[in-house]
Amino acid sequence: MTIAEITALILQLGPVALEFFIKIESLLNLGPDDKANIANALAAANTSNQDTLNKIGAWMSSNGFKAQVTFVKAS
Amino acid sequence: MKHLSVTILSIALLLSCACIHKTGGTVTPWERVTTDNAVFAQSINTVEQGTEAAATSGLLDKQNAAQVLGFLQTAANDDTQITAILDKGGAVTLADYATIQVLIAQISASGQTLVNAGGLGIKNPLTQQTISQDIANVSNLASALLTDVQAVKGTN
Repeated sequence: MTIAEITALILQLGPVALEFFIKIESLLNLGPDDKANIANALAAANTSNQDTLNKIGAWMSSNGFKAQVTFVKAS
Repeated sequence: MKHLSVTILSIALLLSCACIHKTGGTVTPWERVTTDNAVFAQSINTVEQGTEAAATSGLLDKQNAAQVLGFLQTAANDDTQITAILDKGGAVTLADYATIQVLIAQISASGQTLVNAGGLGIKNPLTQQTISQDIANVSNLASALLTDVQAVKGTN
């Protein structure tokens, strides 16, 4: 993306969305090493998912809802 | 708040479909599918944070918030399994691809059920679109991911 396009997006979305946008931009810019890129992307997905599950578990617990952890490992 | 013609998860979808940039080479199908998977996981995470924020501020009642978070929990759990399969690389089997297809179909079906139930027309403060639109976009991202997976399957 060009600077002008990024600036237009920031103006349109506001600062609240900027963190998300920066993370996505970071994920979409790959280095030259195929294996490293794949490993980094897999690690990023695992980190995001674990953070999501932790946050949901904490919210459910603190708001009186039963945690609905239904993870079934793929065969 | 400014009116938005382009919503944030739509941007994620557009970026991930067309704009993966790589220094000094062509993006391989495996790089594309793992990158899009990371974007998908980050999108789920962002919608989750916004849903909590909406519930905390009172925009979204707790019962509806719990349902949305339950959907996002399913999506994050399913994507954890998808990520584990993708981590196998070249050892991914046809059965693994079938599993991914089932998991993504589950995300889409759960999302559709939730949207159809209604009551989610309030705006997510982090994504600047309604919770319903967030859920629909999570489903769209899942479908885009499935397209990538099918492309990778063709190279194995």
